Amino acid sequence: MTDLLQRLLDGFAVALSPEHLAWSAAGVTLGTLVGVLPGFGPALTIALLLPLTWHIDAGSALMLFAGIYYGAMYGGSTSAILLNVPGESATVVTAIEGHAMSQAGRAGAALTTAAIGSFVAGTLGTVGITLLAEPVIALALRFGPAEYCVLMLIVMITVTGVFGASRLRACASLWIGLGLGLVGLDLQSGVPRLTFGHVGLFEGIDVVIVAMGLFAIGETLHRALRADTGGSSGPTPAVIGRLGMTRLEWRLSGPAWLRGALIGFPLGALPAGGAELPTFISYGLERRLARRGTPFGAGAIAGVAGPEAANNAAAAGVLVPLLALGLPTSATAAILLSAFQGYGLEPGPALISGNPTVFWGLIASLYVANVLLLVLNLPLVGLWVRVLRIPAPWLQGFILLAALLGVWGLGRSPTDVLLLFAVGLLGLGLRWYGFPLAPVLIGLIVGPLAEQALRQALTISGGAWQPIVTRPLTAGLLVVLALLLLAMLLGPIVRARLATQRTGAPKP
Amino acid sequence: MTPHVARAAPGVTALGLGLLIAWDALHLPSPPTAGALGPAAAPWLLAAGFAAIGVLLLWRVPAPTGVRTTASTQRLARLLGLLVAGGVTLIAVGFAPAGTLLFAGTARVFGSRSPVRDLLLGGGIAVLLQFTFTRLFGLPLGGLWLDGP
Repeated sequence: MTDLLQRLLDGFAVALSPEHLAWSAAGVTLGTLVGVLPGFGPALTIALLLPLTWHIDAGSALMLFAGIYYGAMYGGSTSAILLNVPGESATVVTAIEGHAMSQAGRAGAALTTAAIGSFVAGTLGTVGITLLAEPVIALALRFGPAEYCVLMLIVMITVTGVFGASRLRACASLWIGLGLGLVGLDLQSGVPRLTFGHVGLFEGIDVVIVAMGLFAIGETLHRALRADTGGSSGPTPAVIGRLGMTRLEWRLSGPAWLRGALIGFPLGALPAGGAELPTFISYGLERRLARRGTPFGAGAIAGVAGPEAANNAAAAGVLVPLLALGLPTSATAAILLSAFQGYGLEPGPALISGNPTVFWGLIASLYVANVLLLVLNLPLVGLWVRVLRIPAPWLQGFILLAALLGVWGLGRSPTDVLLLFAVGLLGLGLRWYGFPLAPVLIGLIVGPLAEQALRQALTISGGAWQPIVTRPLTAGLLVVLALLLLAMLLGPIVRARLATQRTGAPKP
Repeated sequence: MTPHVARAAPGVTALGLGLLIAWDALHLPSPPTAGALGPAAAPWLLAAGFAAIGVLLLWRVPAPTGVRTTASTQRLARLLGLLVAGGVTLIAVGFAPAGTLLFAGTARVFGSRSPVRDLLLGGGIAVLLQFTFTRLFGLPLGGLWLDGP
């Protein structure tokens, strides 16, 4: 424990240096901004900044990105509460009670409970990362390529179960990501795959292009096609009122923050992570625990405090598999992993032993980011409200301009621009038919890693499958994989049976 | 697009992708450096998966989640045209003019009625971004004088 504290203190020495502090502050401000603005998100922003940050050192860039990641989680609640427009998918639940509170003239209290809850849960989640990172990494040291391959398969299976309303659609999205990840030269044999003779595709499709295409171009095209959008201005933000909370609101918020953090962190840390599910669970729990007469649906503060805490704790939890095992379980984590890869860093045992300064500096910067966000968010809420008044047509124009800039900045390649538009059309199709987008990015990043791990395992075993699947750790993970698959296949059948029993036998 | 065609589109697309990947896998060589699992193994798995997903999507046909009108379809067409024009301008002239065109055009498509203000704002942002990328980050974006000597 003393060693851990010492390493963390060393990390703080790195994170609190003026240069790194400035990058963290820039990250949380930018993160809050993109969290507030509907249409932008942390994945898109980090992808946009990737080409720029190759010019700064890895520690600074990762602190900037960590700030953006945490900041976006904070910022998402502002537009949810004031406009009923969730800036982030994980703040959909916050919008329910938060906007009802703002309509009742209590927007200030809703913003305060969201900000303090985010701080409490974000800090608890970061404590969780600090305590769990080394034990998980110690476990990861026992993993060979075969175990990593099965772990990646588990991630892919679970994300198809978590994202979106339909597993088939999530599976199709994942498969598209795997297909995009396959484009380019096969690293082991040097054979070009899915390039159709086009040399520009030999290096594969950059994650920046896919992120920009899906989240920027695809979203803008989707907004254009939908009949219910396209107005010249968005809704007007509600009046904030007094920022403080009453004694009763403090008493209701405190336990909800802690419960939200306890729900969010472990769910975020599991390979089936994502920040959406914990917010729904937290909201359901708060509703169940509420005293009779609590205005749920009409502005209950616990319905904002719990889900906001769950959302931020889950965001911290997602960093455990990412930092300790190199496994991304959300779209932003996938982009973060590609940022690590861009710097030649491999999250997991290699990072903590090879680059302890970067690793512990990054962990310490997460604590710093939480404090900065608390300091920035409430006093600057007026600024964020003004940001919300930017006319929608300008926002859409800037999103397209930023996407073009991000992709052109990669290498001024016309092929990249064509790919951007093609992926944009793909994003439009996926959104139009309700296919989730995160599995595309996870498939793109994790797919090639899984294939590489399997081929390494087969090389080590001399091409034989038996020594791989009979290793106790691999076998154990394969059993988990099989159980997950079984649960996914049987889950809908069992649920349908139960529903039939509850409503009585169907009439002939 | 008729409703039937629209609803079948995801399934047919998945089947098409499966066929395309299978065709590519069929033509992949297997060099001696490939190891136990050749370069074609993953594409074949992917093609089989796409075929299965395609069949399932045709069986349980997904309906579009949004509503479109003639006006919104025209808006999409205008935006697509603008993207093509922006891409051509980018490649031919450089980032700043392309960014200006894209910003002002998109704002217009989404309902802005002040083209001069949009052009000025878009131009300002695009020039500022090109200057920042080129001079501060050393990433030339092509075209005009902004990339410097």
